[in-house]
Order: sequence, then structure tokens, then C-alpha cells
Amino acid sequence: MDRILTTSDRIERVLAWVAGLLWIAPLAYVFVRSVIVESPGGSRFGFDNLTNAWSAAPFGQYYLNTTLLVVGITLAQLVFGALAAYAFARFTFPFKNALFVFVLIQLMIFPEVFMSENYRTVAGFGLLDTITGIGLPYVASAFCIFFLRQAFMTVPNELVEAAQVEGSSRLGILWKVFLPAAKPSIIAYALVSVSTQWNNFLWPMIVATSDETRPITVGLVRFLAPETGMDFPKMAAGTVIVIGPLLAAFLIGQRGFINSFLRSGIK
Amino acid sequence: MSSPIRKKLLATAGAALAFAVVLTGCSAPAQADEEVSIEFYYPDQVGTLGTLIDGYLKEFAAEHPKIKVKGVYSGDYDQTLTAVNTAIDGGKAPALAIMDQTFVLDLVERDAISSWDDYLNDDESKKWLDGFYPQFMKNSTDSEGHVWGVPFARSTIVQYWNKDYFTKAGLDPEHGPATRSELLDAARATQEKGGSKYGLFIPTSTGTAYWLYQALVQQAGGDGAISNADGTKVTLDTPENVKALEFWASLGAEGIAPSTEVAWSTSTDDFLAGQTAMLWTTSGRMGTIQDKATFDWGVSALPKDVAAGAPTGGGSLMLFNEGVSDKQREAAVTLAKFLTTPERAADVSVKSGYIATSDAAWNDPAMVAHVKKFPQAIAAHDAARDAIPEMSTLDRDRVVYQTLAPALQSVLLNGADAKEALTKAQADITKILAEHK
Amino acid sequence: MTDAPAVAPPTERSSWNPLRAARKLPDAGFAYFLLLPAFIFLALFTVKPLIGSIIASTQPRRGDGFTLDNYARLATDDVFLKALGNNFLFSLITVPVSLGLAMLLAVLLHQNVRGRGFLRAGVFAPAILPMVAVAVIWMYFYQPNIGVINSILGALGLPTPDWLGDPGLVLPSLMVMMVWKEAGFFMLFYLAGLQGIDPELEEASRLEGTGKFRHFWKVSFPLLMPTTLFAAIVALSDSIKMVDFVFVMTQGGPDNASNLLLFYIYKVAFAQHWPQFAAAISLVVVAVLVALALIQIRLMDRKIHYR
Repeated sequence: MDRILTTSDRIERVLAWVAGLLWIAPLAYVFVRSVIVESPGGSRFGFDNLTNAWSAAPFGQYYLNTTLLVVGITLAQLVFGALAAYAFARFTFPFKNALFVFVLIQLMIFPEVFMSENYRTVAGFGLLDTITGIGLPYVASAFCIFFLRQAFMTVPNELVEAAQVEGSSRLGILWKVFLPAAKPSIIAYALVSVSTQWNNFLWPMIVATSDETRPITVGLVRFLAPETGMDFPKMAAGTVIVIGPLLAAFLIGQRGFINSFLRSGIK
Repeated sequence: MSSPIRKKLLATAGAALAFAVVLTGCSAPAQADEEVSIEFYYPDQVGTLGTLIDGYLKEFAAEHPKIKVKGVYSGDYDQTLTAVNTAIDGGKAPALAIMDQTFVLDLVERDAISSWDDYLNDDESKKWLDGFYPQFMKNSTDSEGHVWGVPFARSTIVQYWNKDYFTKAGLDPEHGPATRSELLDAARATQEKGGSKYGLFIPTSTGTAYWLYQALVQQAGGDGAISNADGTKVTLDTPENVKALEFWASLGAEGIAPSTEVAWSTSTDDFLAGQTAMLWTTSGRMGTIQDKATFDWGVSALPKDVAAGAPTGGGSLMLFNEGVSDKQREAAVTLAKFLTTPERAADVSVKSGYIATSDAAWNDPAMVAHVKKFPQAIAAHDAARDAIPEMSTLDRDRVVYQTLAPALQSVLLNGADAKEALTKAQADITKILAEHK
Repeated sequence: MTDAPAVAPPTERSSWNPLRAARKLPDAGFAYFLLLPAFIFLALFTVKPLIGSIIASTQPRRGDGFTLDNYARLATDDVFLKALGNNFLFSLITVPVSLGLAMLLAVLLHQNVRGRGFLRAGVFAPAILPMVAVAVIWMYFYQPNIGVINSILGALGLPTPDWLGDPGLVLPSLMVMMVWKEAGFFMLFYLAGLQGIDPELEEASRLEGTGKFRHFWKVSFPLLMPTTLFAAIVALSDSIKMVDFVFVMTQGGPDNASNLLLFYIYKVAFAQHWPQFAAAISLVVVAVLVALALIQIRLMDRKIHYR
């Protein structure tokens, strides 16, 4: 396995480290600053910033809200998306093309573009300031339907026929044949969806007005209140609290995570 | 359909009906001792107000157990306006909110807020309302005398200076510059001899440039209010306007200030970090500076040029209409009175630097004690005495942020000609305001 | 008084399970049944507001009636045109740069470097940082007088520009931040894509004496095309909707130099309370998005047919 390193290999390795460190530097700085306590007598190492920030805002609640949102939306998108994609990939029915174009057209339309109309809809359901209200506009995704349909299209017909011979129902075939075959696409889509919702700020900010419903993005901005000036230790501490657990989990499980993701062979 | 299903359906329908009846029951005229819930939106532009209000709401809950207040911290003033506008669109405005005083004209035009007159017509309330300093009532009172906002966190622009730099530069650290020439001398001296990187920061950010500009126009001998009382006209094309803007641009050109943006949000941090010897900003930042400064500092009214003066600023309590019941309105008025008693006005002032809004508040024992310990506080009181109204027009966001601020910034940051920029802004704004005839 | 309901046969009761009911549907009916849940919500949150916006956009700001003024205004509204131009530049630059760097980082971190796991985690870390947190951090980095970047530059005796306060610099500064946040995320997809490429291809190139760069250009890059198209859709839509940093950092200023479309829609709809004009802007944005989506699908479909 071990080859002799050529010069270009060595250059690549150095480049990898340079690029990696450059990328890491801003966050590393934030982490360092979060454990430096500034006082009139000078600076020292300590966790005061972190404990102060932790007790100043209900980060646990924000985390919980975000988790509920992200998991709920991603699951709903995948369930609804898989059902619709299955219909498009496997059956013929009247107006199929028209309905598919309908999906295509919405591929890049995201609910925020229509924020004021959608706000009225959610308000009409009495769902303002609820986690359901924040998540509802996202539960169906045209991108998910399209993407899973593409994956389903590549499922060989023989597999379907074999399942039919075994007496599987139509939903059974979706479950036993299509979903396992599309696993890489499902993982890829889930990653995009989780990342999008985890980042989402504008719509939750409009809908959520209390700490009981605010996701971590909105909670963080309210906690940091950048409009009132800069408090870097506080900011660093807030940032570390927000990404610390995730980053630790990623570092610990990164081999498994990346590898399982890689094995799924997204292309 | 099999009968168990029918039974289930019937039961569901029955339950829904019962639920509907209960709901209707709730919206029937409420009993005097029934609980009422209201929403209250409040902004924080300075970093100290949010915590204070949280505390007051706890006290209020103890004193009025029947009124459930849901306090919503909604960012700065502009974010609060968008939050309230969204809520109105959704059919459910907060019963009470602290809004920038300059939002009144737009909100009244849209029938979004109610005048306080109907709720404050007993003698006691009138006395309470009359107690507020008249300069703080100007932006909230229309030409017919209706009152739309009750002053809460009020401010004006003041100058802060770093006494260390003044001492090093051989200036009197106990007195800030009182005239324009003293101001420029002090700025240069602190840079040349005092060791300060910059002499004077006047923030140029989109959100507040107009406000500081107003002070400069007033000092140049012009009409610092810039707009008329109805908010249908502006005067930006006078020689005083040009003179004011040219002076402001000269600070950057001569290196007294950066020639790039002086950010509103971080200018205080710059001052605290010793980047500039002097800073013009809201009196509401006094609390923050007091907490964080590692050097001695002074504060006073802005120096005069041809004239003296600065605009008022800050927030007033407003009563919103959309989806608010009479009962909730009553609760909102109760909360507003609670929040604006002289003791609380004094407390806000002591802890944040916002200006106590009445003589009663200034005579409050806590305030008197604070002024004794911390004589700088009186500076804001004096500065507010000759304060002019804050620029306010219809379609404020478009006029102020979308037209005036970029015009000012094009001169300050891009070196455009002041007279041309102001003439164009005058024309553009006149066009916008004509849409409201 | 009959107990008939109580003795209803269990099969009949369970036939009310909608999944079982669906079994009896013909294929076409079954397909509609599958589409129903997704289409209800798509209709509710994209079609309904689309129709609502079309109606709103043809109404005057005050009063009733039909008007095309809102559309005419688009052509003359300086701020809209500026936001459109800014957004165009922002997407045009951040999307290819993010993807290109992601590809480069993936190639570098695909090899067996010591500390690979740490480097991968570090490059991926910004992706799990919410955009608003990124914005707050970079606001501090960019702060002109006490910020980190200028402190370093100042110590080195270099000029210290005002990154967010200079109308000419603000948009590029925001682009750098966006690329930093996005590249690590897309790197993950490229790593997966590279993993899927047969290692024998690289061995073959080595034996033939093909240079690494040439190998990448001739072999890896084309094989990564499907990943690129997928990532491009995500990156493009992010570059239009993930603009939370404008709220936190610049409010669109100075001199509207960092105003972007979604921020402007938000301003017009809520701060200026002008839903009619906001609707017209939304529809223009939607039209552009739909066009871009269709172009990308064509590319993607062609790629898929090749396989």
C-alpha cells in the first residue's frame, strides 16, 4: 500500500495542512477567546464566559427547539417526498407530466420568498409562535421529490418484478426495494435538509416570539444582540455553546460519519 | 359505513362543537376579575434596557396577578417595527409596544395605533401626561393635540470624551469642547499630542446617520428638524444643510475620523478601546460606557456652532389596534402607567443613561443620589433642554433609510458633492411624499 | 338496544386503515394518493402565496383597483436594481468559488495525509455553525479599528481597510465569509464523489505518467459532474436565501452596497409595509429562480441520460 512519496505528493500534503489550518483559524480563535477571562488586572484562563453565557439564556431549550424542528421537517420531507417521488417514478396516471412540471417549477421556490403571504396562512391556523408554525411551510419540498425521483428512476425493473412475484404490495415495494436502493440519495438529501433548517433564521425569527419556541439561531442573535455593540468574550462563549456539542460529536464520530456517508456513495 | 365509525364521528363532532362553544364563551364580555393576557414588544438599542424591562415585568406580575404579560424582546427599533408590522398582518398586534417615536406618522396613517387621549382623560392621568417634558412629547403629539406615544426610554445626542487623552494633550479634562472651534482644536490636539488615533467619531451608519446629521444642521443655523410636523415635507436643499454635510465630510478628509463608515453599533466599543478621543452618540449609551470604561471619561451637550442643539430620540409606548380587545387595551394602559412612574423613569435613567422624562423623575430620591455620585448624568438633562424634534416623515423607511442615508453616505464615504447629493435627495423624497397626498 | 356495533368483524374495522384502503385503488388512483400529502403542503405554502402575490402585485398601495405600477416601478427603483445587481454578483462569484474550493479541499483531504480526520473536521466545522453565528463572528473580525484582521494587518504595517464600511469592499468581504461557510459543506459531497471513483483510474494515470492536475481535469472532474450539479443547486439557492448576515452585519449598507434581494423583500414587506410592491419583487425573484432551476435540470437530466 505504502508508496514512496513523490515531490508532488509532499506538496499536496503541505497544501492540505495549509488550507486546513487556514479554514480552522477563525474558529480556533473563537474557541481560545471563549476561555480567556478579561479583567482589569489582566487576562487569565477560565470558564467564566461560558458559564455566564450558559446561565444568561436558555440554550438547552433553544437546542431542543432546533432539534425538534430539524428532525421533524427532515422526516416529513423525506416521507412526503418519497411517496410523491414513488408515484412519479413508477406509475402512469393522467396529468403526470403536468404535475411533474408543477414540481419542477417549484424546485427553487422557497417559502421565505413569500414570507408575508405565508405568515398570514400560519397566523390563520393559529400557529404563530409554535414550533409547528415554524416548520409547517417546509414539510413538503419539491427539491426532495425531484431528487428522490431521480434516484428511484435508476432502480432496475427486475428488482421490482422480483418483489411483485413475492407478493409485495405497492407500498411494500417502495419500502423494500426503492428506499434501500436510494439510501445514498436519502442521506445526501437529509444532510442538505438538516443543514438548511439548522441554519434557518429569517422565518423562525418572524414566527417565534418566545424562548419556548425560538430555535438556536434566533435565540443566539437575541442573546448576542449585535445591534447594541460588541462583547467578544460573550460572543465567543455563545458561539462555543452553540457549536461545541455538535463539533465534539463530529470529531468523535467523524470517521464513522464521513465513512458511512462516503460508503453511501453519493454521486 | 359501519356504526362504530359513525359513533366515533359523532363523538368527534360533538367534541368539536363543545370546544367551539367553550371558545365562544371565552370571547364573551369578560368579568372584572377574569385573567387577561397581553403581548408587549420591547426593543433594546443599547444593551441595558432588555434586562431592566424583564425585571419590571416580574414586578408587574406580582402586583397585577390577573394580567398576564408576555414580554417579547424584539431586537432594535427597526426590527421591532417589522415584528409589529408582521404581527398586524397576522391579525394579532401586541397590545402595547415600545416604538421609536418617529414611527408615529406611518402607524397613524395606517390606523395601526390608538391615541392615548381616550384612556387618559381623568385628572390624574392628565397630570401624569403633563408631567413629561414637552420636548419629549413633540414627536408623539399631532397638530390637533392627540397624544400617540408616552415617553419611555428617551435620549438625545451627547458628546463623550476620554479624559486621559485630554490630559495628555494639555486640554482641560473636566470640560468638553463647548464650541465648534474648541471641538476641532481638541480633536487635533488629542491626535497630535494625546496619542489618540482619531479625534472624533460621528457614526455614519444607515440606521442613524440622519439623526447625527440633524444635530449638525441645527448647529449650522438651519432647521435641524428637517421635516415638518405632518411629515409631508423635508428641507434638505438649504445652504445650512450643505454646510453641515461638508463639515461632516471634512472630518474624514482631514483624518480626524476614518473616511470609511463609522458604525453605530461598534463606535462605542471603539471609544472604549481608546480608538477615538471623542464620540457623539446617544445618551442611552452612558450606562454601557460607565460599566466598561477603563479610563476616566466626560460627557456633555454637543458643542455649538452658529446655534446649539441636537434632536431627541428614543422610544415611546404605543397602543396597537389589530386584534386587541377592550379588556386587553385596559391592561395595556395599566402596564404603561406602571412602566412610566417617576420611580421607574428614574431607575431606567440611572441604569441605562436614558434621560429621565419628567421633573418628578429627576427629583426621585434614587435619581438625586445617582446624580450626586455620578455628576455626569446631569449632562443629558441639560442637553435635552434645547432638544429639537427627531426627523420624521411619512413612509419613513424609504425616506430616511433608503434615500437620505445613502445620499449622506455617498458624500461621506464616496466623496460625492454635498450640494448635488442633497438636491437629489430633496427631489427624490419630495416625490415619495407626493404619493401620500 | 343492539350490540351489532360491538360485534363488527375485525377485518372490517381494520379496513379503515388508510394504507389498506389504498391497496384497493387502481394504479392511477394510488399514484394520486401518494402525491396528495406533498401536494397539499406545496399548494398551501408555494402555490397559494404565489397566487396571492400575483393578485397583490397588481394592486395599488392604498385603496383598491388594478394597476401595473408596481412592475413599472421595478425598472426605476434604484434600490431594487442595486439589490438585483448585488445578488447577481454575489451568486455568480460565491457559487463557483465555493464549489471550486470544495473540490480542491476534497482532493487534498482525500489523500492519506496525517491528521486527515482533524483537518476534515476543521474544514467542515463552519458548515455546522449557523449563518447568524458566522455573521456575528466575522463582524468582529472585520471591525475596522479593534477587529482581528486589522489588528494583524496593522501590526504588520499593512493598510487597514474598513471591510464592511467601505461601499466597494463590503460585498467582497461578505463573499469571503460565505465561501468560508459553504465550502466545507460541499467538500463532504466531493469527498463522497471521489470515494466513488475507481482507484484503478488513478493508478492507470500514474502508470501512463499523466500528471496529477491533468488526471484531475481529464478524469475526476468529469466524473464528479453529477455531484457538482447537485451541489450547484444547493449553493445557488443558499446564495439567494441564506442572507441572514445582512440582518446582523450591515442592514444592506453602506449606501445599499450590500443590499440583497431577500433582505429588500423583507424591508419592503414589513419595514415599509408595502406588501404589494414586495409581491412584485418576490415574483421577479421567483421567475429568475424557476428559470435557473429549469436550466440546471436540463443539465442534470442530460448527465443522467449519459449513464
